Amino acid sequence: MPLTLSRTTAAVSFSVGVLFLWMALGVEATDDDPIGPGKVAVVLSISIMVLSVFLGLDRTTETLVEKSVRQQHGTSFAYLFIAFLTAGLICIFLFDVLGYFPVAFAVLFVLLFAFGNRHFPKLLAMSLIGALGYYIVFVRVLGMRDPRDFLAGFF
Amino acid sequence: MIDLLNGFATVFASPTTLLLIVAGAFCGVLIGALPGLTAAAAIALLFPVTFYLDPLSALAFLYVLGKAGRYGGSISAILFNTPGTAASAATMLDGYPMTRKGQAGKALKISAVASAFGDFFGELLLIFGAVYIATFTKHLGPPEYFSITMMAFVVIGSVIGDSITKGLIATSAGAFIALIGVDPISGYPRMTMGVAQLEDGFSLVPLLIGLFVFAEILVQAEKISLGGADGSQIAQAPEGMRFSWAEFVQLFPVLLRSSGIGSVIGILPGLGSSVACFVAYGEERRRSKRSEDWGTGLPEGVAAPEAANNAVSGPSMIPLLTLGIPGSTIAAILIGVFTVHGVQVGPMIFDQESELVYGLFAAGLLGILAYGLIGYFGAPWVGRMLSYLPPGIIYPFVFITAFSATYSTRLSLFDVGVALVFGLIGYAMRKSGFPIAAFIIAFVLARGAEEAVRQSLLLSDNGFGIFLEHPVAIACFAIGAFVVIFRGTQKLRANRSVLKSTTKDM
Repeated sequence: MPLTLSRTTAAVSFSVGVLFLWMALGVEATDDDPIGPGKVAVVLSISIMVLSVFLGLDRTTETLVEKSVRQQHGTSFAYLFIAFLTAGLICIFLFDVLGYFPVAFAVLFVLLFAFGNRHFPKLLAMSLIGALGYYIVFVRVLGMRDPRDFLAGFF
Repeated sequence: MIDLLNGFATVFASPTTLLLIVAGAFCGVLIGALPGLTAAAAIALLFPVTFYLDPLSALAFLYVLGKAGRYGGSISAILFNTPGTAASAATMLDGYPMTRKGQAGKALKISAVASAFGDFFGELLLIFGAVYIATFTKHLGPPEYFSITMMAFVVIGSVIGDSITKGLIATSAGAFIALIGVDPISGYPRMTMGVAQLEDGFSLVPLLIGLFVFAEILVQAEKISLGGADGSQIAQAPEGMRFSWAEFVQLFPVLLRSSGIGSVIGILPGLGSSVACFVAYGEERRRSKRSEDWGTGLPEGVAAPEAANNAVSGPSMIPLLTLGIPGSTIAAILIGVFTVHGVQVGPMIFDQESELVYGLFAAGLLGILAYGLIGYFGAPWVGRMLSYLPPGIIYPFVFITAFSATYSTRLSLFDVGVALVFGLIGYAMRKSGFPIAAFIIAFVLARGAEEAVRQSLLLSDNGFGIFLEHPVAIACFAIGAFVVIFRGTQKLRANRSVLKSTTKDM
């Protein structure tokens, strides 16, 4: 059977169903409950697996997918995707270390650069002013916790 | 009527609520106009901001935000041939040709008036219809609630999106994700894989922001990498800006019919604005004496879809308020808002929280007026602002807004991680055709449905036979089965004709 987008999707969906089933089977049953805390999850995961099989066997979906115009990703999307992931990792791993303002600045800088803004002074200015604006709104006005709050002395 | 007047009095007694209604209208129009950011995404982003507000102010702000967001999508549809939301896709068909003819200002004004008209029509249906329906639904118990939820799952999963199978998979997955956490009956954690932060389950806000906002950023990044959207000049000529009273009177029958279509579609769970706008457009085109001119820039071609897509808003709240079942993605998110503020949705809400409900209705009517005026006078300015802001600048700022909103919910970086992961999942779902709306609605309803079935079986002497003892439950299961079979047959016929044409081509 040739590998097509629809069959790949069905295979991934089936794998998700298997993962869910494994998680659901790990739930301990209770004596006083006719269904128990795990049965509904088991039914849902088996439903996903069965539906995924139907999806994979559906020749008409495969035909429709093969007839449709496929967009080709340019290499620039890979850079944007990596920038997206980098920005996310900066948020998660550097927030407690650096605080809100530096993280907001770094995220804006990385993403604005990746999204095609190459004029360095403008890029720097947008990142700085943007990060400052977000700091004022979220930390100062809305009172969101900033673990470092380097700008506390200025406001 | 007296309750509604009391609702207005409650709203006018609170300057904060009034200010937030106007703010919701303004933010909704602006965010809805940004291509890709839906009204649901707008609500998800600003939901955490409302945690510190009183229930009426929070609900009023987000409810009006959703209404205005539905309208806002028409601005970029008309000016840039890019719908800001899926609900504005039909508006593009005649809206953009009107812009090319130098009538962008007129198109924007028609859109604002039609949206406000349709929304007002739907809102009146909600106000007078919901109370009446709630008198019947008050007496429903766990077996009925479970069967109604199952019907909603199956209907929404089959109707949303192009593939019934994918819709049902998305529904099942959303329901499964909702079950992760502490079991409400036994009190033991389940399926948490030893992760302590999952004992409370997945929070709604990170999920919404991930699926609607982070996923959209990736979709827009992909579009940018393939080439940008076309810009457009806003008409400066006075003739292109005018929308006269005589033209409004001429469009009145179109507005009335389209609002009716939108309202009926709004009550049915799962269909929503994106279906309503095309149904209304198609119906008006069919009735028109000059149907061959549709698509060349006719005012009716803007008025019909805009009236219909906004008429969905009020009626989609009817199943939410009367049954606790969201009729749309926005209604599903609003369940979360009600819950955060300690309000239980369902038929008892009219007795227990009457002041809140009628205050919300009044806020909805005022919000319609607010976004109607903002749109009528301010839409060209919004469009001009958007044309100066390229997507390469907008979306990095949307990212940092989404991060801030997610973190501020529970001050948890785990939530930020969840949002990012669901952003990737949401992007994959969009690319492979799994409907996100079905996932979200199932996520919101699943815990309640599971609790209802377990309660039903605890009450039953007859096991699952208890569902056969309740006529409402039987009817709901039958409707669910009918919809799946009907949709399945429709899809099979459509796919067979595609297969035949493919074979012929070969």
